[in-house]
Amino acid sequence: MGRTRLKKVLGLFLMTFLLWFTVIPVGIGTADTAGELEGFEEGYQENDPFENSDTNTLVQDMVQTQESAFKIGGFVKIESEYAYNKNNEKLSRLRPLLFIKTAYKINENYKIKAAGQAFYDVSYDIVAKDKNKGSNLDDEPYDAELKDLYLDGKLGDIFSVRLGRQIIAWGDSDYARITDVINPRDLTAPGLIDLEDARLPVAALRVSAFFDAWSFDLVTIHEHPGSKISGKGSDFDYYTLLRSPEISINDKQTPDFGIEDTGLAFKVTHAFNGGDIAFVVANTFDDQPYLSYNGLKNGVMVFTPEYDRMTTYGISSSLAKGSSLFKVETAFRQEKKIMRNDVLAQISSGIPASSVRTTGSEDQVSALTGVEYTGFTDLRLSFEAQVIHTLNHQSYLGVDENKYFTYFQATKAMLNETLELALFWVCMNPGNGNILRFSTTYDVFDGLSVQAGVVFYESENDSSDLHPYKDRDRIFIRVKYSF
Amino acid sequence: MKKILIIVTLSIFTVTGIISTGFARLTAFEVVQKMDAREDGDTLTTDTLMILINKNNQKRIRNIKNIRKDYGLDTKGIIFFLSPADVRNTAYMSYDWDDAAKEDDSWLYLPALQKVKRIASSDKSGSFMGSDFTYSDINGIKINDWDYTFVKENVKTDGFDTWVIQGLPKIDLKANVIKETGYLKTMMWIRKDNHMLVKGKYWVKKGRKIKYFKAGDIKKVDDIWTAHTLTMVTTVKGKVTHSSVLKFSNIQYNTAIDDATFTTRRME
Repeated sequence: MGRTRLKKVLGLFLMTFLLWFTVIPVGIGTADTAGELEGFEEGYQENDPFENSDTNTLVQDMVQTQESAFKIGGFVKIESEYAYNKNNEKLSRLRPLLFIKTAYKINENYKIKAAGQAFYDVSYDIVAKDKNKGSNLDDEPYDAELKDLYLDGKLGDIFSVRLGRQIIAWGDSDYARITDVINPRDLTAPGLIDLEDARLPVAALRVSAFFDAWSFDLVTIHEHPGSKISGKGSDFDYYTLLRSPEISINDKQTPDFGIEDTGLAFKVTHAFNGGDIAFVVANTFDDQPYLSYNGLKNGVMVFTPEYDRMTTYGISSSLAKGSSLFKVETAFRQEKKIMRNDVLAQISSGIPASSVRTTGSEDQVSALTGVEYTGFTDLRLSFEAQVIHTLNHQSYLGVDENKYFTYFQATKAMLNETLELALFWVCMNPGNGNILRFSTTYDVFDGLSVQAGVVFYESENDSSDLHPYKDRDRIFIRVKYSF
Repeated sequence: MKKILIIVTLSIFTVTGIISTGFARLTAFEVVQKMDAREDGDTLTTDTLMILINKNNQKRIRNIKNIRKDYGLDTKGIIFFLSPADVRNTAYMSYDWDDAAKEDDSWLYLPALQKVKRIASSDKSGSFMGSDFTYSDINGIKINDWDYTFVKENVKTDGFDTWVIQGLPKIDLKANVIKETGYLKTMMWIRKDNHMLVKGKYWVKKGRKIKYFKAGDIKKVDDIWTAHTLTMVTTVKGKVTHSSVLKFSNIQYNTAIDDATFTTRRME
């Protein structure tokens, strides 16, 4: 309890600090005061910095970038994370990561892009006893991954095509996945994964057409890896509540690459003065797995994570007004497979494995509203509130009838945008827990940045999804060099 | 970041070239009007080198490709960030409507997210891309919101005769003007031969800073007076804390630019 209170106090302090440091100086300045011009160095001829300045000749020494058909770039990043809570103190990540991206412009209408990354987590050698995949720490010990690989083509002024492994980001929410149905997410360490790293690319074909203020996107999805989740032993083990000697969970079984398992998604977007509205229809695989029951094996109940199709009908819209951007997004998910909470009871009753029902298929409505405000100098505030409502909710379903999430983010740029302070807060209502992240990023020089931060996990409700992760707090530091 | 394209156009302070000699004595406001009413071409493309220099003389460099097209009194523009590596391929597009009742439209493409995102008009007193220029510098201030008076009617600046004009927010608009621009007071040096703003001094409310502006390398491009270098220096108590240089090259006015250039599709 004391620890939770400490977190709350610390969170409140951080938020107060951020707001005071950013909002207040601007707010005070709006009133008229007689002495406004006092305290300045007066006189236009004094202190003229141009008199002896080299700024006018400086530009002559600079080399301007030349455009070429082939481009290569990327970054090297060293990420370190440390779990500092008692009974769980450990180095949870120390990995150098290399990310390379290339682009080749074939001609004015076609180009190829490719990107990939590789990392090796040294912390496995230092901390973890078991180097098996997904064990002990939050992610795999090493990996080499193809991120993007696609061909981009423009067919006249109206049509364009993108074929290959890609990210297709839909929806207006910065955080929630409502109409953003194409790419699964990296859920291995909630709050620690930056949004830019959260979407996982999939093999897809996107055909787009543009007619004035209208655009149409048709996507066929040919790869369904599901969202990336942490495995057994990890602090953020996705199935941590199910872990016991009597239960075994196999590796996930993802849909095939074949035509039968092709996903389809369609979006119509209309841009109007001050806003956009998009309509989405999709029939593709849910990125979150359900567990199928495979029976008893040596007295152990065996489950396998699998994925099922789901149809989504959604609307997403944003509207700018002054310094505010208002957002709404909603989706109707037809027959989403939801885990039941009576599975173990069914198995214990002795019914045949084939009769055990692990899921219910129910419709869900997910709705979000939010606002992004940029009216304070160099400060961006973002707030979003989401509800997921399960229709025809039954007591045996393993989710609440209504699940609420609120997201708040404050980002302040300082020192000519070389320093950024960021506060991110996710609140799972009612009283289901919070994730609070505070970070600061400093650009040492062009290309080199250092980010440091802390993430708190708090939950007092032991039925909350977040409860198993409480006290998994992390401090982290990331050094990134872009080239 | 908003309205960079206009900086490269409006801030390349172009004028009609009418020589003031022989005119009846102008008021300070009329001089500012002439500065504001410049011919800047129907279209413009430039490459821009932005150099940001901190007080320790450490430099950061950004390369920008800028395209702008006028549609009557409306303007559409798009800019692409070519370097440094961490912002490469970022794109910003805006539709600036003359009709005050219409909200300006702005979009940002962030390559890290691979997403085009609509954005609200940001506070115009904020820093433009980390530089010493603000969005109000870039977009140009609304001259009708200010009262202008001559400080001196003839001062030699870089060898040219200039007016020195002081601007103060109009009393009834003061709070809003200061909030929108961040400035308590401005001073402008305007050349008499071509009405270009060649020097400026700005009193910034937040932080009690004074900023100094200078336009350099002024010459005609496609018969339009154009400054090829803009500098803004920020000082606190007389000491330089940061400065920014914008260097324009490959400036082309009135070339044919396809309307499809200004679509979210082109940002990706």
